[in-house]
Amino acid sequence: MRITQQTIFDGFMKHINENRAEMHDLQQDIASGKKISKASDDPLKFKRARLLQEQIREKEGYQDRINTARNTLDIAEQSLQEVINGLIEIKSNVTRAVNGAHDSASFTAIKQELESLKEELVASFNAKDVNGYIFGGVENDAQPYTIDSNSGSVVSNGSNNSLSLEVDNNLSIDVTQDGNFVRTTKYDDDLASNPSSYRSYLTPTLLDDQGNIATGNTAFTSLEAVDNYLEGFDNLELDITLPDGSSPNPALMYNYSNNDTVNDMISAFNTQLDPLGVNMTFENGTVFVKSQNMGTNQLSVNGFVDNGGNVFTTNFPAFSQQASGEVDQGIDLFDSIDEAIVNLESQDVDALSAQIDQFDELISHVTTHITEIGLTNNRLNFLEEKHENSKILLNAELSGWVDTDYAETVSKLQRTEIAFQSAMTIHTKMFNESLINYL
Amino acid sequence: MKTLLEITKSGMDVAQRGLETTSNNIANVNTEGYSRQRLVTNPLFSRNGQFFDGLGVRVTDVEQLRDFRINNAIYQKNQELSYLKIKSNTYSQLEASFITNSGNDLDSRVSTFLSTFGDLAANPASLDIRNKVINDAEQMIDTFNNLHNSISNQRKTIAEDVESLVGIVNKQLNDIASLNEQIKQFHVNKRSTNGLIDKQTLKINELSKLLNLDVYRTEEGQVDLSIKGISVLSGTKVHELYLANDTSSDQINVRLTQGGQGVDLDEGELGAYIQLFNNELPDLESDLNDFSTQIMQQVNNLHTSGVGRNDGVSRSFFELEDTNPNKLIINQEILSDVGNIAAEDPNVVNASGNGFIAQQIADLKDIELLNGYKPTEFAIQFISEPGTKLHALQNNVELRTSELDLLKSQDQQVSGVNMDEELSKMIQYQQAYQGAAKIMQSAQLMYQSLMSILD
Repeated sequence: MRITQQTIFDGFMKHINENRAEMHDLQQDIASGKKISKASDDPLKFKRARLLQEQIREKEGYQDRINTARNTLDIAEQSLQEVINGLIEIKSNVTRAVNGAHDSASFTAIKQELESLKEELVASFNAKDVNGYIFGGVENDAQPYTIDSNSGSVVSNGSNNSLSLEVDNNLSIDVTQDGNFVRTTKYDDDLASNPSSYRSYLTPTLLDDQGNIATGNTAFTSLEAVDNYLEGFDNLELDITLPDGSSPNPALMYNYSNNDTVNDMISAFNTQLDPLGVNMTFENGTVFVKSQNMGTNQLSVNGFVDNGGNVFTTNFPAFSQQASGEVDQGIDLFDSIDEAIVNLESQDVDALSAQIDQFDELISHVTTHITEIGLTNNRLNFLEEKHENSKILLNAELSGWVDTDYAETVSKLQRTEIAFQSAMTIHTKMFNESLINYL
Repeated sequence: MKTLLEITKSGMDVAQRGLETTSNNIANVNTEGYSRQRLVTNPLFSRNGQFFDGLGVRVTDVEQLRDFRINNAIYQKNQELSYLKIKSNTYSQLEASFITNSGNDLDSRVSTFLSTFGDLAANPASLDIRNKVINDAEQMIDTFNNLHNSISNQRKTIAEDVESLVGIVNKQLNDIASLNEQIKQFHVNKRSTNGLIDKQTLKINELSKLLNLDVYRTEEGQVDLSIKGISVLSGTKVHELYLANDTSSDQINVRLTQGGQGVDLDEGELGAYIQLFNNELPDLESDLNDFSTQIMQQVNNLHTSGVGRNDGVSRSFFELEDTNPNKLIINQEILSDVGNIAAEDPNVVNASGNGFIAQQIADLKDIELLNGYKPTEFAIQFISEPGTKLHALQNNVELRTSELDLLKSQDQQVSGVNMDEELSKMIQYQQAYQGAAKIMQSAQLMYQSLMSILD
């Protein structure tokens, strides 16, 4: 094989360039701390790394929201604590009025005390965090509770829809407080049956004419044929008033056909009720109509309407009790205070005495609510920790993919340097060897 | 006696020619495209009865040591390598604009944009968040635009490069044609064509980096060149390439003269440029368009089913710019009032002020948007595309480079000048000359001896 000077030179340049390129790469890795910084370094690792970064971003997003939520809940807890203190104060004032007040001056003094306590409570319900009023639900940019200047009663302006934060994949937690939930005790009933979303809806209990909870005809089952009870009616209309005060439009109609069971009827109505946020259930022989939202007017069921447009209340054993149904709202915090103020004004000691239990119930209701907040907080803490842990794992994995292993890189660099120096030495030596030296 | 002097003279002549050749070789040791030359000598003789008497030596040729098969293989590798190198360079430039060290690339922009809608869902009344939605949307649109620009700028540069390269190709073809002419004449006049062949080889070598070329060499040393069976040079006749830019389809076509036969260039720098311009960059561009269109449609579909916070009116979020149908812009009504961002779903009863629509837009992050990819996944896939191509190309470039190096070294083995070899040749010719001179000296002495008898 003929080896010319050019061959030696080309070989030398090739190796030197290769060495230089390798040294350049290693120096870049060391200086930047990254061995994969662009897709061409290693497309698979790069894509994997970017996907990991996306996951980390997602966790960080959840963590940010959790931190905001915890802050909101802390303020809510503090405000409700103030509410409890206020209620205790009110209760002791009412107790004082029942036991010790004998002249109208002291009734007036206590009444004034209650009025100012009421204002303090309204202020507590109007607590704010960085995002807005925390008891306003989604309408958190305006004061959720105001005192009507004419009637003096407290008006809820907020929304019954609480702000819901996505704190994990497909897991949302309601964080801002919907004040109505705190305001009335009835909401507590939903707590046990719907722990996942503990305060976003109301289950009105239907009362019969005598004010008793309707139990219906327990012999009547949901598999009963409707025509046993609906003889003479082809179509049936359900007459209800929605929580926002409106009536459903179009009207809720059920086109009865032979052999339909009560279940068929319920599902026919539910198809129409669903979009309205209302649904019909059948429990213990009673048909219930429930709203998932509470509006100013509350949901009311007026009864069924027959073909002639008459509200149909009799000859209809299973439903008759709901015909004049009304909603049990429980005890309203501000209404109770207003009532106490009226009672103080009229110096009605008996009525005041009866109210002490109401305040006890309200205190226990708000306390339950604070406990709920504590539970949510715990849950958030747990989630936050979970996200933190996954972030650590993801970061470790990411680092394994893209970060420079310094020990390895430095030792590689040293190896390349030695190869580079050797190449230089050997080639300079070879270039000097020529026949010219011997002529 | 006379013969002796003639023989000696021929020996000295040859040695001198030999030294000339050697010195020419040494002088051109670093000349690119130079092939070493060797003296071809033949003994002279005459028949004398039953013997052949030697009459000295004669130079019959100064031959070039060259293996055209290696040259042809080098041309082939040149085409492949320069094709790969142009693609590598283009993709490496694209990658640099697709992927930044900060990591604020398309993937993070899209993901941030959607996740801000999640924040909005959690707090639909917040003006801060509404402003952030606009800000993040603008940044995402900017990123889309930058990506568009870097692709279309590459295409613009390529169109210019192709134009100048076609000019260079035509010039080279004409140069080679005139070399063919000279070689023909030199051949007729029995002059050495060595230097011309060196020049010619060098020209073809340059040309082979630009396009796919088939080389056919005639006995006389002329070359005919063709591209996929279409002749571009035959003897001295050149068929110049003509660049037909089809503006309607936005494609580059190379033809033989205007309106002539289309030439399929798929190797060399021109081949790479044309393929990038006509196919690969438009593919990349259409992927990007599909992506931005999908984002726009999906977001708009949801956004138009929602309503603005203050007026309950439905609006689209994104619109397309009138002058550029690929360019997204934000609905002017939303820009002028962030309250018009529709976070609220009006169809949910008793839930005014809700953030359901915003949440649905945020949830787009988990839907399969294009080819089974979720938005961020598609963005990652897209920005990695040039790098992925580059990675594969780099491996090929390395492979082709070492193949080319091997061929070059084989070419050197045949044609390269070895200094040591030439120096030893020098000594050889020097000694041959000295030997011949010595004989001449002896012959002179013989003459003198003879003459002295006559005295």
